[in-house]
Amino acid sequence: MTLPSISEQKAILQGCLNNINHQSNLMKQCLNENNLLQGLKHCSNFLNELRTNQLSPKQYYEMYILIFDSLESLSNHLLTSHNSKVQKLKKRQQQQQQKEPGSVNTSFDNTTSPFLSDLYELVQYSGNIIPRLYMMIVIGTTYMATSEAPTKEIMKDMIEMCHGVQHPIRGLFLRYYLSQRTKHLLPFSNSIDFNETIEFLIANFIEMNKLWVRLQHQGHSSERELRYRERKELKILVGSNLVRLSQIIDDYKGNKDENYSSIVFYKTKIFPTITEQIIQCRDHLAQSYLIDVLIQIFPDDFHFATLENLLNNVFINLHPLLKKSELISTLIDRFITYNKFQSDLATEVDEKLAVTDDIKESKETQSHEQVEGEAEHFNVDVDELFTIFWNFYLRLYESDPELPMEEHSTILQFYIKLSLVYDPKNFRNLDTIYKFATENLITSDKESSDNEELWLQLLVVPIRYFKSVKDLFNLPFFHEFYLKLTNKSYQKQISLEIINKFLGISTNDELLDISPPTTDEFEYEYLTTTDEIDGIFKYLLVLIKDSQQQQLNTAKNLGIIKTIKVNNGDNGLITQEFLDIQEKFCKIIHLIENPVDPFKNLSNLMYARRKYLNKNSQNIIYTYPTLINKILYKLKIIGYMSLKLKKRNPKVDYSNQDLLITTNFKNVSIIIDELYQHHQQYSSDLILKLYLNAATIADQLKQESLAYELFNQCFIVYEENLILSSHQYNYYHHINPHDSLGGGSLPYQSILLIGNKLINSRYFNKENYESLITKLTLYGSKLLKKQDQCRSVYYCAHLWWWCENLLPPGEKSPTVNEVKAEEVSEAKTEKQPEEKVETSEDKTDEAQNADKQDDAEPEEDVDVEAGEEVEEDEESLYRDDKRVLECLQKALRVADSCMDPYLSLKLFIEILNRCLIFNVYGNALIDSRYINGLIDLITTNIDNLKTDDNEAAFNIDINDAANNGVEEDTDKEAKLFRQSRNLFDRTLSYIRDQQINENRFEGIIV
Amino acid sequence: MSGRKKTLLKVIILGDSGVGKTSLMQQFVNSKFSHQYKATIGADFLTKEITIDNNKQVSLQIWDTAGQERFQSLGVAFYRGADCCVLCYDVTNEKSLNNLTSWKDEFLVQSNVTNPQDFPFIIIGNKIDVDENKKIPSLQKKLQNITSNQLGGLNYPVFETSAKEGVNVEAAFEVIAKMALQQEELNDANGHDVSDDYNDAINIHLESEPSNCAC
Repeated sequence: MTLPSISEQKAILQGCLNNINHQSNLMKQCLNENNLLQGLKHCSNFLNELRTNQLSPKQYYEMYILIFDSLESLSNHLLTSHNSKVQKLKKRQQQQQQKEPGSVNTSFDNTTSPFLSDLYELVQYSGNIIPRLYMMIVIGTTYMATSEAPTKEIMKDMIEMCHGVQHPIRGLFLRYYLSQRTKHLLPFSNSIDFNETIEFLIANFIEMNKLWVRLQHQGHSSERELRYRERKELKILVGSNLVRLSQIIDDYKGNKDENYSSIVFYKTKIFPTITEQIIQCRDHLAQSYLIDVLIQIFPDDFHFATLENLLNNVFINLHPLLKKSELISTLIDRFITYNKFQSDLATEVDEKLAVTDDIKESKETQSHEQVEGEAEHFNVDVDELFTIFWNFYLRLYESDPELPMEEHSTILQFYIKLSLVYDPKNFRNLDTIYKFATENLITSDKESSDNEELWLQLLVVPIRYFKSVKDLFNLPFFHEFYLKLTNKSYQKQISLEIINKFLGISTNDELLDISPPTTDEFEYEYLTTTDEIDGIFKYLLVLIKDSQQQQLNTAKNLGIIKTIKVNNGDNGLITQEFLDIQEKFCKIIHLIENPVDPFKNLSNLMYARRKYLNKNSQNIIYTYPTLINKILYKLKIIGYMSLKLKKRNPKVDYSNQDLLITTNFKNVSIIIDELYQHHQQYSSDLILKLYLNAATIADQLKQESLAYELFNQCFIVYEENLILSSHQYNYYHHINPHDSLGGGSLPYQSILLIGNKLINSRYFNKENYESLITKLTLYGSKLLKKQDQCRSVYYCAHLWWWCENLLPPGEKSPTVNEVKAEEVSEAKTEKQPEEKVETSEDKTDEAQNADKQDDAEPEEDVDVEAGEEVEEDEESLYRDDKRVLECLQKALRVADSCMDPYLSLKLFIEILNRCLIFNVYGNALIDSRYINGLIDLITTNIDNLKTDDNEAAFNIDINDAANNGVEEDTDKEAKLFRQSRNLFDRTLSYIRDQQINENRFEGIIV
Repeated sequence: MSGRKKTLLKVIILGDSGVGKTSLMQQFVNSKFSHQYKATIGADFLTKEITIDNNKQVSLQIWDTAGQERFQSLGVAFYRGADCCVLCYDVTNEKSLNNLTSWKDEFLVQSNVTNPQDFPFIIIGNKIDVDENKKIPSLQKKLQNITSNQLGGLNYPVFETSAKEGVNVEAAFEVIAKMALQQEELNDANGHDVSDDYNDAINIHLESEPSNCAC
């Protein structure tokens, strides 16, 4: 027997459907005309269509649906005509009753039922078995729906008769029809009825299952695939029996039998019978489908009650090729849903309880009980549940050594989910899984690292599910398992997961179909102890040590942004991915935090560096700056605290704390030095900044010798690397020498950096301070380019002339104290009380003070002396007018020696501006005479250049189109000249303004 | 159709897995609600007789369907002849809301209805008993968006129900019954003459078809 082609099948189906429609309409007409027998004939006609075996199950189902509807209308007709007959009879009886009230019910039963029972007998004579049985069922079930029918006998009869159809598809649909028609007529009013009904359903199930399994073995073996597909389509017919069973158990409430429990009934009666059938049929498809349905269709409580049996006696005995993992996953998914549902319910119950507390007490107790009853079966012991599952897994492992790794992985993955969902804090179960996996699975599997991807998922799930990464600390075997992954890239993936979780970076949860219970806003967690640092960093080590992709090919990987270079080392190629990871490391360093104990915090940071961060000398250029800044930040806090304490209780000995601070500064120095050892050649500017930062903080904490040493370190960095290294930085190359603000060479920049930090230092003694600034000024004067020299020197001039106090009120800078001491001895006798008044007025704001000072500037020195008595209001600024003058003179000389007259002019004007500042801030040596001289010099220079300029312009006019290059050149010079003149003009107008408005710059001739 | 004969109206309930289709039906037909989740295997129906428009008796045949496709292996032939289709979503599950359109399209493709433009659909958002904070944010807006953009801008009635607490279930099914009745009457009016012609046309050669005995 071969099936027709698809198009033929379609045509056949259409023909069948047309015929059914037609015959069914005819039947309805006959029924309307009350011609029952003719109607039944039409009915039999369309039922004949169901005898086909040329259609696929889906097509057969279409036919079945149509016929079902038609039979429904037949059934309706029969029922109504039955009812009307009953009514007529009743009327007659009533009439009889009225006549002779004695003999009542005698003829009632005998006259009503026969209509349907006769009909039931009548259709047995139908020629073909399919129409016969369908009609029997439709009439039988209609009969059952009437009140006085012998329901159970009809049921027995029908199910016996169904044996007559042994063709699988036809038989399955016939029995399906039987079950559909009987579903709301099944008797279960007492336990006997109930048991018989259950037997009826189970019998139908067993028969259908047999038909279904048998279908596989019919026909030619080449059609096996086709049969398999057909059976897959037919499966719901078989499954529907289990649905009925489940429904009837739901509906039957025990009926006065107090010992009845649906769970026990299921456990003792239904479960063994059904599962035996499932095991016995030895059919792959049947087993996997029916177990699936069994799990889906019966309530969770039933499964909890039979779990051990289901796993150990059923699952184990199923077809060896059947994927147990699928069944396990269905079961666990179900339990997970159950848990979610129950916890929702529990919160609801809590709410209800909370509400009922407020209402009347009498009601409360009642609803209390009710509500608690609802929540009662929620208590599932996770450990017990897990143990059952776990024992099953062990048995499976032992009984089937060939079990593929995918199976192991999937099953364990679901176990992990189960444990996580039921109790996220139960680490024992999780660890059991990882322990087993570490010891038994991953070792046996060395040759194929393909499987490692499976293990990956095992590790990822808890990371994503846990509320805190720190929960991982409770799983020692998690790390063991992690270490067993031989493929570094998988390890890295896990590590990244951990980092992301720790930093609250959300990843798309494709892998995780169970969502964590709370999705509150993310809160950073601190690593407060070395154990916690170990806990996290042991997973990060692989990212630190092995951060580079080994075979990174520049031709292929376009994402490379730059190369990393270490002294005498290979070049490392850097991708955005690498940088992202480094950035995350830096974030983690910031989370090494201990808000209570800063010293502990410091030692933790040192620990993280010593044990983890220094493992790769290439990466430290990205991570150390963060580490150093973090340490310095902490040191700053500690230092300020200790300074404050010292001030409050000057008598207490703080040498211990001081020692700690000193040690830590030394440690910082060591860390920077390590960075310097590896990266001095290419990142010395960064290292300089780190040293400078450390030095400044040391100074602010009054650690003078440390600060001094750190500044010296800066000079070492400068001398060893920066002084020569400008050529390495491409971006410094297109610097315009005329641009006074746009940077300059790297050494020049470094000088400015150091100078900027030095000018804010206040706690050096005079000797040290002068030694440092002298050194810096010397470096500045030795720079390669004239403009850099000139500018550094005039900037360095400021180092000798403080403009702001910067100190908290009442403190004096040690740099000035010595100066003062000297000056005091010189001018002890001179006192000017007027100035005292003025300074006391101005003590509020240093900045304003500075502005007003120029009025009092000639008496500045005296003012300092006067402070001897009024210590708090005293101006204590380090100033050395002679050195300032020297610097400016030097700058002028350098500017003058420039070969480029335009640059020279520009520098002069810049120096003029500096002079004005010093004049404003009261340097007596930079007086109006000096400034006038400078203005004269500039004017002369301008005049000289003017003629040149005019000439040049004149020349251009003549050789208009002669030479473009020349034209551009002269144009450029003209532009520079114009800029310089504008700057000069602005400077002069500024002086004028100040003269008019502020009474400054007396005697300067503009 | 005589007056005494009850009209049978076929209603199909569609929607994603777990939105509460079975619960809605159970609540309406049997006034029952179970906390236990059971997947629906295949398709099955329950019937309920109700009276609408004061004295019109109708019998509602409500088909509950499997939301999970793997439990619908025999196809959806039972869509045929439906008089009304109920599209369900879960007010706490945005995906189920977004899938309404595909359920509707699937229904129209499979059911082969003659008037897809006018076919009565009704939308039910179930589980309104849950906490406000678990519900889809700005639900009304999204629903509005879906009905106006994807469901063709047709104003299908929308009900928000709780199968658990029986809120709005009766009301929704009453509307369903009315719409289904309207559709059924429309079908009758259109379909009767056609099928009558059709009967006569085939009637003749069917007589000749022999009824053979194969089984």
